[in-house]
Amino acid sequence: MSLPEKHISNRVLRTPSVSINFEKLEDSQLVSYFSKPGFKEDAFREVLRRYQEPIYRYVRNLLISAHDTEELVTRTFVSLFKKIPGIKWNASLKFFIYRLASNESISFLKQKNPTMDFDNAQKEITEYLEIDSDINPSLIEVKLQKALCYLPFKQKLVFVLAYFEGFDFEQIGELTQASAQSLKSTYEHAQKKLDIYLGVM
Amino acid sequence: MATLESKKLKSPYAPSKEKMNDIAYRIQSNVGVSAQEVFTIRQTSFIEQKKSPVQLSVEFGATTAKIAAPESVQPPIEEENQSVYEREITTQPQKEASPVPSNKYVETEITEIIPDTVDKGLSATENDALTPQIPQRPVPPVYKIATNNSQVQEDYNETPTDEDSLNESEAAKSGVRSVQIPWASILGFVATAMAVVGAWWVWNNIQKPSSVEDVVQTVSDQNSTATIIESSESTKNEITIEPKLVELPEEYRSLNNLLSQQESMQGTYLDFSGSSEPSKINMVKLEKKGMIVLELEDDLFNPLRL
Repeated sequence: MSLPEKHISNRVLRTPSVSINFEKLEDSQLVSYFSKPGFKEDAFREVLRRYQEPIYRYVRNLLISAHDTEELVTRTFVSLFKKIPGIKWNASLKFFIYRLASNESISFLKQKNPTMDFDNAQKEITEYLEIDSDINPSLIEVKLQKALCYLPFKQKLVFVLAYFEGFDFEQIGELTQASAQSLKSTYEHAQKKLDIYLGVM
Repeated sequence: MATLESKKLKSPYAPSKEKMNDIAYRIQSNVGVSAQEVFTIRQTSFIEQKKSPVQLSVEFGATTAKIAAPESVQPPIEEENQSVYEREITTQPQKEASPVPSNKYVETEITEIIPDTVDKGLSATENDALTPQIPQRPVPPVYKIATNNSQVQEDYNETPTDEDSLNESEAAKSGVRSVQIPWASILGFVATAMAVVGAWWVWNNIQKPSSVEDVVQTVSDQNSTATIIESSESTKNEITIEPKLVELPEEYRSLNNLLSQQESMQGTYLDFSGSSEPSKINMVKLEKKGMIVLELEDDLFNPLRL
């Protein structure tokens, strides 16, 4: 008579009995759940649900290429998940994610082209506007994207943060470690150039 | 001109929910979190079709009352007087068919075969009477449709007129048929045969692609040993020139001595005073030609001491 075989089953962690609707939480409240076990994953998914699409658009405004944008968005949120436990939250989550995305974009561009000069324009990335099939090149918004490529990267970054993302110049100054006044003049410069480019195109 | 300040433009990038979910899956798997769908995709609801559709009314306005078509009342059909349609088939005396003439061709006999009416000179009416009568077909009865229209009823009551005789084509009567050659089918057959022949020729002439080794082998087999051309003796007589030794005259011997010296010419000094007279004369000639320099101790060439 043989002994019965042990039924080995994979133990699955039980979800907490308390169910929290993360959609209704504010960013500061959501951040507090990152440190609580059992809620970290759900809180992270809520962060993805809120910020993945805006970050995707922000990075795509900078890089234009869809493939590069997907890679960068992945990198941004992966580094966010890794850095969350050691962060002292003295800034808003949105500001932190945008700073992370900007740094990842800059490091990605440097990695791609070590001799890249951020004071010069990257005109070669305009070809992605024609290659990517999800863009209609005849739209005025796409023409604006093409005109943005003719700006130096620093001007482009300031313009995108102010025009598309709605940041004020103080916040952009904290993000880029520059003064608000210089950023404002940079933004006005960029706007004038873009008006000329759009008038020509 | 509209500026960017006046017209707020949006970003043209609108990623789909599927794409966002793909990126979210990738992020969650990289991080080590159980991948779940983050962006919910709304599914379109299907409208169930009702099995019994509501009958809409013809009149304007939404009413559910059904309007039935009035029942059609047909008046009774009257029996027709069939005697009206009966035809009187009249038979007229026909001329008896003349006997079949013999095959013998005689002009005189032909005139006899010709019907008598041609020679007799009958009138038109008499001629018509002799023509064969085509039997009239009986007209099928017409079923009367009950209508209220009196005019239609009168039309139906009218007696039908005589139908025209059927005219048959002379070609069908005579039975003559023209033979048509099917050119299209013949051309098709010829084209098919040509295609088959061409394919057979191409198939036989296509050579199997040979491998590199086979090519090398064939090339090496083709290369035959090079024929060595044997040198043949030329028939031409060789001219041998024997140099003749000529003795230099005495005048040029000293010159020859000078020219045959291996040592550098610079720094060689000749004893002018000790050489013979012909040598002296030759040396002077050489000096004149610029080939040698005679440094004679001559006070004329010394600088003046003042």
